[in-house]
Amino acid sequence: MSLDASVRARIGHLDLNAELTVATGELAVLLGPNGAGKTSLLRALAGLVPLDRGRVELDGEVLESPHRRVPTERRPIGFVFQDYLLFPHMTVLENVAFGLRARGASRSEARRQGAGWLERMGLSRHADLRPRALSGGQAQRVALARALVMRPRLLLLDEPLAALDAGTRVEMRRELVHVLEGFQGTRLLVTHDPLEAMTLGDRLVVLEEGRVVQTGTPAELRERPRSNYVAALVGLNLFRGRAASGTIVLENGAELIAPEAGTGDVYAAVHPRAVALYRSRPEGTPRNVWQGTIEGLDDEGERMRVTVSGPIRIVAEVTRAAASDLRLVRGERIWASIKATEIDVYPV
Amino acid sequence: MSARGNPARREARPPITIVILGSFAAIFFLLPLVGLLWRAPWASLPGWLGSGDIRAALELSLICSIWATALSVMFGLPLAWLLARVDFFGRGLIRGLATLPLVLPPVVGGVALLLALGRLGLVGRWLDSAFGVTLFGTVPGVIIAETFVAMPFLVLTVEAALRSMDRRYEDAAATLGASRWMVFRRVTVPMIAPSLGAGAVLAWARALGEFGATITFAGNLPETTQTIPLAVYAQLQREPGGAIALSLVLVAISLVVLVSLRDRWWPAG
Repeated sequence: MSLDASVRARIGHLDLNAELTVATGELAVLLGPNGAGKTSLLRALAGLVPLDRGRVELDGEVLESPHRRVPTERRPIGFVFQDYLLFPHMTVLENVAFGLRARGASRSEARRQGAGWLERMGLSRHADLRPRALSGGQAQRVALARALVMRPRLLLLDEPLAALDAGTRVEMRRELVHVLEGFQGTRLLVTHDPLEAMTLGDRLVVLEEGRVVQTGTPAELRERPRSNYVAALVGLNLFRGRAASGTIVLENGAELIAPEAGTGDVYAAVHPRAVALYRSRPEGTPRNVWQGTIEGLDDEGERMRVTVSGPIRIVAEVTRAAASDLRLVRGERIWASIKATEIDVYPV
Repeated sequence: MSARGNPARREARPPITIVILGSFAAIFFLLPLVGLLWRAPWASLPGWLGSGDIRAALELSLICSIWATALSVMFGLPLAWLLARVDFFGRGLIRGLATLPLVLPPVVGGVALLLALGRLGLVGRWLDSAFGVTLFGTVPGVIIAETFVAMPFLVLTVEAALRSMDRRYEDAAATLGASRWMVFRRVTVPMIAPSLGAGAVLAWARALGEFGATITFAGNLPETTQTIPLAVYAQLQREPGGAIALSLVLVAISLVVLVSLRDRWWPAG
């Protein structure tokens, strides 16, 4: 029981075709690059975009199916929009009381409950202000209060921290975590910030070009990425290929030797620290050795990230001392090697 | 942040070409007014303004133009919403029809109204036989003629505002449980209020100055259908002094209303 959705919709250039389940009470984070369809997916769940096909079910109640469509205003779903969209012509209290009025509460009852939520959010003093007089963080809390006062069973948050400046974001993230912990329903939060996703989410759902490419706990994503986007986020080298008798043939024909690879289509993840660089061809154990060209050098403080192109394009991470010993210069040739045991292979 | 508060913008000189051409436009608007003031019969003005005919025309003009504005809002706002929000068959045609009175000479509009709503008209015949209602020569006739030419200004202004407003506010209201009707009343209309006001002022101004459709459709009967523009026309043939006095009254009312509402409805700068 939970949110169970399968959504197919064409929105502009985006071909949204995503399946998603979120357990009751869970905080799932929808992560993906710009334009991946994260916001569109949230809007689809809320009934704000027509679906070509699909099914949305919340705690066993069908909100959308080919035969039935519950309109947005009757879905038990709260939505916190990216730029909050507080009604500019209403006071803060009127904003928070709006939904209760819409559901038929009396004016005094709506104001009483609205004021209660403002107090919980520490915003009682701002009840009679217009939204434009609020800071970004205050506006965010009003938007949360406005959605939560409806006691939704599912809370959707679209980039709740993106509209805040960097200075207040850390503090607001802490507050957001606090508020979200106090909410018992199912939560789905959208972000394009991997750090935010990793710190906020029980489970991450990665969306790329309208499709869910991976779901898992932050730890699972960190260890076993299943797309180049996720691999880049967690800082791993990721290869895809076909394994047979201890060798993985990559898509470009290059080969990686990995005795434990098994057979079939596999991913191979390699941590940049497991990649060793040499001036001349190394002797001894490493079996994956190739020569490439230094394509990029990124200073990361104590360490350097070195991008090496060649038959296998890979990022290596070396200590500063090693980097200066190797006299790394962009455009020069260099030897790279990976120990077979450092390659983490898992099926596609 | 106002332009005045910004020192860089205060010091910047406007380009001379724009100043010269813009000034010509301003003078072009000012000159006819000066002409009126120049030839105004100042000595006999109080007498003119006190006369019953003129008072009646003034009162009629105000009442009819306000009614026309109210009707334009009442029916034009829903029409603008339909044109902006609902994709229905024939929308382009309806939009064209709703703006037709802007291009049509008002006299043509009056003739068309006569053929539709006049005593022998398409619908008017039935109004007459079923209810004994005749519009020619009546105050409601004036109001209908004025509404016909005034409503397009409201529809155009409001439709443009509805199209340019951030519709996600309406989405937000829907996620809070508001029906479409409540969204319209509590979110959409308040958010386009400045444009609605601007459209209403334009419609009112157009209705106040209406001449051609009114005289054709409602006639030119003192105290029942003779609004100020019609009275100016009638006076011009008999007594130019009276026509000028009336014109001054019209100019004064219009200027006061337009200048005082301008800043409220068109946020300046």
